[in-house]
Amino acid sequence: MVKKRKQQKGLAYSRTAFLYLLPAFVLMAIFILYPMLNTIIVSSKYDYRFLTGEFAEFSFKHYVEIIKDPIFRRACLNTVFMVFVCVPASMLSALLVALGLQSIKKFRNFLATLYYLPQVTNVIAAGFVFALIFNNNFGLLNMLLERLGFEPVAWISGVGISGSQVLYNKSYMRCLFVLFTYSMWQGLSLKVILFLGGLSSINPQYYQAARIDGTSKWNVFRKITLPLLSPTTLYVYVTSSITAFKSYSAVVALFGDSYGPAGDNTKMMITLVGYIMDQLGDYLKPGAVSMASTAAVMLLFIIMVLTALQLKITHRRVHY
Amino acid sequence: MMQVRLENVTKEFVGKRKETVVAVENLDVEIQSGKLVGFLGPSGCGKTTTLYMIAGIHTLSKGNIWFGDRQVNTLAPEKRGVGMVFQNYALYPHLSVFDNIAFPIVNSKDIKKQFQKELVEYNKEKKSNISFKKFVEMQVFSAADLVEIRDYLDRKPSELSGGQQQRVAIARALVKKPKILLLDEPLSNLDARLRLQTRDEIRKIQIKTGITTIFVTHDQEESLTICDQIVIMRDGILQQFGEPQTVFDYPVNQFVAEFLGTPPINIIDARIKNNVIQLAGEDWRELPEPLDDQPVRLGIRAESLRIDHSRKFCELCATVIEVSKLGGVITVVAQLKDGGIVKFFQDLANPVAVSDKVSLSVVKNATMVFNMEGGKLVQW
Amino acid sequence: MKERIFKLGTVIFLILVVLLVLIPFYWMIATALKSEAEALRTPPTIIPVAMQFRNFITALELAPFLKYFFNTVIVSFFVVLISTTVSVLAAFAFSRLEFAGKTFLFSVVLTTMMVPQEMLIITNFATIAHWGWMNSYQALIFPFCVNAFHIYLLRQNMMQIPNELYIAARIDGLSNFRFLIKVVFPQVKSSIYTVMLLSLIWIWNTYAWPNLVTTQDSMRLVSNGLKNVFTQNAGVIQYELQMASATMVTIPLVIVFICFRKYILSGVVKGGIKG
Repeated sequence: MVKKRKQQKGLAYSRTAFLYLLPAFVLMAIFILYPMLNTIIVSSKYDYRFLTGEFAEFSFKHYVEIIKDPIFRRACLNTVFMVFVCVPASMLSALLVALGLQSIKKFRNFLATLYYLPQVTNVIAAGFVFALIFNNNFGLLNMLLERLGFEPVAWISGVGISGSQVLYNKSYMRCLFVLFTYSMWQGLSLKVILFLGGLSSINPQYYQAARIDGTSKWNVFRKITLPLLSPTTLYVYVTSSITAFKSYSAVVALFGDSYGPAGDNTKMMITLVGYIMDQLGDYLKPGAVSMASTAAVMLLFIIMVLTALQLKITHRRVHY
Repeated sequence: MMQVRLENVTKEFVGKRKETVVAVENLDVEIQSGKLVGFLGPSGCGKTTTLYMIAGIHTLSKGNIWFGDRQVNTLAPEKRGVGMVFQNYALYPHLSVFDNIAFPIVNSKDIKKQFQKELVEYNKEKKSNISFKKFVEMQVFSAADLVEIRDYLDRKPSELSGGQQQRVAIARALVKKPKILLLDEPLSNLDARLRLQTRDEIRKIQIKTGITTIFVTHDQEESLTICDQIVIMRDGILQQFGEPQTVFDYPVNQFVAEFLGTPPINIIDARIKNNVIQLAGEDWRELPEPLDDQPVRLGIRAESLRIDHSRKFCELCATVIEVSKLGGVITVVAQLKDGGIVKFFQDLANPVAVSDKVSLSVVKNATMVFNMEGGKLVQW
Repeated sequence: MKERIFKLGTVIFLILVVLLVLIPFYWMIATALKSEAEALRTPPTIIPVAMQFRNFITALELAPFLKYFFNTVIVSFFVVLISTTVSVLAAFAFSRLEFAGKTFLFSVVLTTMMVPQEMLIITNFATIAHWGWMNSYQALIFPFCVNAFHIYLLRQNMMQIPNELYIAARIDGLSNFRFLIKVVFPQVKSSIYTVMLLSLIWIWNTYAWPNLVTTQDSMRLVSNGLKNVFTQNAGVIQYELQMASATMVTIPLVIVFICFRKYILSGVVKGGIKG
């Protein structure tokens, strides 16, 4: 009569739980887990031929090839610019804006909504608009400059760059500025909202206590706001950096498929992901896919290392 | 109507450090159909675990549970047909009171089928043609009337007070006409007055519907007042099972004696020597049956002590050290020769004052003698 | 007094920044409404002399934008439908059910959150090509149907439902699945809306993947369609048409955002606070 009882299970134990997970894990297996492994493997298959799957040998020659490629180095340079210049700049501005927003109650939501607009704007469309604004002849910026009495600047121009290194650098600087402006415009939006959320989550009692103690505004900011905001700040920094590493569509929209102004054949503004996509575009060429895979693995590696570094450096400064 | 039988039920848990914790040990109790039984005991005594095993939320480690003549050990809770009322009400916040009460009938396949069958019978009998929706409405109304929450059917739980929410929870448990009703400390979150009111209501409903009800609480007054029988538990082990008054008057051990009763029973250190109880070195009373010489503890309830005015000789001598009034009850605290403290109630006809010397006698059958392990040796 | 100046300064600052943010939008719409001649004027005019709404029609004739819209809507619909369902089911299992390997499987989910899409894109492209799914809706839909972040977000929200409610529902006769439908779903509705909206925004704005798997113009989505029509270095660009197209592509999502900003903004913040 009495059934033999095995290890007891709780009420929520379900033998059919795997059914709930099945769709997610099947999709993950096909489109995430398998690609992860496969990319790493393919990167070591030298001269991989896409259609047949044949390859010359297992080797890491691609890694060496890539590092030697000047275009890859260009991509690294640009990506570094995005991550180490654009991100901190937009973080700082976003923090200022968020602080400002936090202090006013009336139009906070209205303004916050407006600030977020760039995030829901199509990247390609936005890139086109910015390219137009910076257009040498019909651009808004040059028009304003002229009105203010300045000389218009040839923002995106490849005139004379193949001959002169000086001109090339000048052109490059200007293009960087265009990219910088765009990424500020774009990056500000999300960060403002995140910082605002982080600021709102700080218990107002801290501020009340500081007021009673007569603390100056600057000290309140330094000793209360910043430390309590640090988890959010870290989150914003890490995620924005990772996103910046992956910049691609914006650059393509701003500078076109050749990643640079007319007259440039060095792919001036290419990014790491752009490099990968370019390799992939030629996928029928022997070795293209394995090159792309190698570049992807290197990208992943760079992201992981730098993220770990970021976390390590800021570890002591972040208070939970 | 349903009888619940717990047969040698044991529940073991695996603790955080992988040790085995025995929450309930060899519990063997039979709850007769239609009775209101209270499970009583200090925190951690296993009463809630037992309730959860009856509900099917916990599985048994050993033993069996019978609903009538059906063994339900491994039956899933949704198939057991019990109604349950939780300490925190557990009402669905996104539904109105009406939908909360109707929830079991509308959303459970088995219960829905049951009521659809009932509807067919009903329509046949009354020669009517009521829709299922209307029938459900009738059930909800009648459950709501039972707990007097009819006026609040449109509201959401968050708009109700604690007491009202509790009544909705009771209605929801009852609407599916369960054979067994389980209540897990349902009154703990209510204020004192509401607690008294609600517990009487629960009793009234239980009598009216005749449902076998099991009621877990740590408040002994509650259980003494409304339960047909009580189960006292300690550390997972059944201490005593019986009618409240019986358990109160004839506790089976010191724990039970001390657990029931306000103020707590007087415990006096004493000694048995030559079959005589000695208090503070002096002989007091002779034992009704022979017992070994040993140190013992006497248990005498406050209400069992009387001031002996015959003053022939001092049976139980004490000096009054405090007279305190609480509400309408006056408690006298007196000290025995050896320092032991006893409490008894003031006799309003012959009140005593502090520093009075009194002689106390014990009402018949109210003297309990416990050994040092807490077991009862004799009571007379 | 100092307070007042400070506050005024803050407001001015904020308004300035907002204006900077809005300038590109203005410029886009303004240029879209200019005639061809006016768009090419040097220096350009700030306010268009005469509103040329015709430009929008012309832009539609330039490229099958309606087809791009249609494709995007179809893909969005299915991605939202499928990915939300997948995420809700998985999140429910992780938040409420007990089963072997739960911790391990969840950590797998967390790990995938950190993997960059770019690493997967290559192999996924190969997979699609080998299955013959190039230029198909499936290729555009399925890779986007599982999202670890969404699963995480939903799980966090579901865990806030008190366990007692789960027990009560089981006693009330509900199976796990019915509990999900009747009790969990109504209570996490706002998170579900957030997840749906985030998926929608993603599909509308993503470029790299659609660009890779669609070579036929008829299958392009809004983002790579737009890009394809106006490649920067190819000849003379008709800016007024480019901007008109950009406007048409941007407006729908802006409208969606304004209507549902509550869910989008709260979802973004929730993901951020938890870190």
